[in-house]
Amino acid sequence: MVLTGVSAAARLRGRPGRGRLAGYLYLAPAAVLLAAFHIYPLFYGAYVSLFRWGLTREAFVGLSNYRALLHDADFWRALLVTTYYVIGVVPAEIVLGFTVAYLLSQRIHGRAAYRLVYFLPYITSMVAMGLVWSWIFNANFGLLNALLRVLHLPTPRWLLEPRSILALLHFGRGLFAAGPSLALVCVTAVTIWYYTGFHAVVYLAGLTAIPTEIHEAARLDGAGGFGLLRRITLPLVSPTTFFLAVVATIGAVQSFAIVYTLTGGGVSGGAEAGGPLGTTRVVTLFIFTTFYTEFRVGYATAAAFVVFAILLALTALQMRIGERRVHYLGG
Amino acid sequence: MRISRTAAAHLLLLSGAAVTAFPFLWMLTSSLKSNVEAIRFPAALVPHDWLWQNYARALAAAPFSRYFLNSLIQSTGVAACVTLTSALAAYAFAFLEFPGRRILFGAFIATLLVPPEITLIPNFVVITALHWYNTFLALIIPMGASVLSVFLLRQVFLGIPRHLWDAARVDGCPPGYFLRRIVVPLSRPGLAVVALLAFLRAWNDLLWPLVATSTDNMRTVQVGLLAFSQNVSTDYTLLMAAAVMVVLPTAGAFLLAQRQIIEGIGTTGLRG
Repeated sequence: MVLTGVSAAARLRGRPGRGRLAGYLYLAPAAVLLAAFHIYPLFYGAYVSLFRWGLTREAFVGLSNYRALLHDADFWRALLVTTYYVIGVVPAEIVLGFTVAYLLSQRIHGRAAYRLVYFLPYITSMVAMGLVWSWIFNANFGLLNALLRVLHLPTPRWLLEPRSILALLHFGRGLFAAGPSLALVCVTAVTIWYYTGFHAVVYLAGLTAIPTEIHEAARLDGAGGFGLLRRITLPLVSPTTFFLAVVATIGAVQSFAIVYTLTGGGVSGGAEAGGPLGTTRVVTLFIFTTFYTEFRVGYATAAAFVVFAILLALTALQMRIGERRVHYLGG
Repeated sequence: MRISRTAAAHLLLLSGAAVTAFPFLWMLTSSLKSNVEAIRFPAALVPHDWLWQNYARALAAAPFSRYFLNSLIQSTGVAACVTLTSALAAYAFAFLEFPGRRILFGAFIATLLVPPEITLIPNFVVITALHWYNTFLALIIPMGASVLSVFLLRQVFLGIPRHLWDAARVDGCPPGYFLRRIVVPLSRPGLAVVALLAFLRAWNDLLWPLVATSTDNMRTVQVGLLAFSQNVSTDYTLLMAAAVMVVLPTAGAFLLAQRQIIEGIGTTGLRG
């Protein structure tokens, strides 16, 4: 669509020679850096994952790293923790982001100020804000438990609590005691806090792109309130929803700084990254500790490739679903 | 009816904004309290005595000035590098005509599919082999190109009226001259957004500096702050003072250019 202007101008020119070479020259700096640090690692990483590789390359082991991952309970648990995390984060970010954007799109006073506040977390350091949150959640000195103590309510250990929330709520025992730990729920909540403004801003751009005539026409036809939202607005922003679902899923699987700061790297005092009993050890933390603390470079790279494959499959699946569900305006 | 709906919307938005803003307020006010007051409940939103010396104590408790200098060098270097490489590439994609342009643009976009967890370890091995480990080269060069910035700037450049380019070509204006004299002056806001976003990304990054550096004199603010948090344990006022200092430059830059940054992100969906 945007290319039409270019090709029209190109027909006017069509002078070969110096212009061609210039094109490649202008591309070269970015292309070289991308090739060296984004494309080459893909192939080099695939190579590394076939070796036992500690401080240096040790021995070719074929696919054994991948085979070992299949039997690694820690890796499977990291995948499960990541699944809980993604399920907790993505829908909440989308629903909250849309709600904020929808309310802001209603010609409301102070829109710029609201937008500024909601967006603030997104541009600040995850480490700094993670430290603030881990203090708020601190079992002994945190604000949250101070409040609960005054109200004579039970004071959980929040980020240090490995038990599942289902067990803590006495919701089923034994078989149903599985589920995300309270620590992971806290990490999920902070992640949602961090990204909601980003989603709201992208939604707001999508909402303002809807021509006002469409809403006016629907109103004239007797649509209003909730019906208008459900039948007109939501379908029209579905490309944005789809885009955000894909981006948020990828982002959540790649989360590192928030999880690392809240459980393991920060003041919460967990000896090992990944929180109480590894219940917040998402796959990126698994890869990081395997690589950085244990220095099993080949094995960590193989794990990264498995995660990459899962992510690609998930994105492809979202694309398939998106194709059928998304409505494009005038397309 | 209409008024009550607006009031309800404001109520919802205000409560959401309160939750969003609270940690920032808490960080700011706690950074000025005494240690005793910081953990007292009910907590005061305004400190009893304003202890500005907490900031001096935090600066003295760890080599923060060194961390700031390192982060400043890294982030400025990354911003300069990204803006330069992206502007050149975006110019080629927006104006210049050469065989394989569309395929190359597709290849650029395709690199977005390679996630950071894949590039992390091979890049570490590569910078070690290049003897860049624990140097500024390692902190800057691998982050020196950004596909999303190329994409954003290409959109900006495509907004420049075509007749300017056609007129320049007819007059035999060389491509470099047109870029410097026409494209760059007309795209200042777009270039500023790209530079600022690159700066923020580098300033706030934790994983790569954590992996690519090893000594205290090469640590960036994020890595330094995290290490500091493990050392001060429960001296929360110091920790909050340090956190404020780490947040301040990015928050300041954001407040100065918030409209451009928000619109830049709203339209391209950059997610750091």
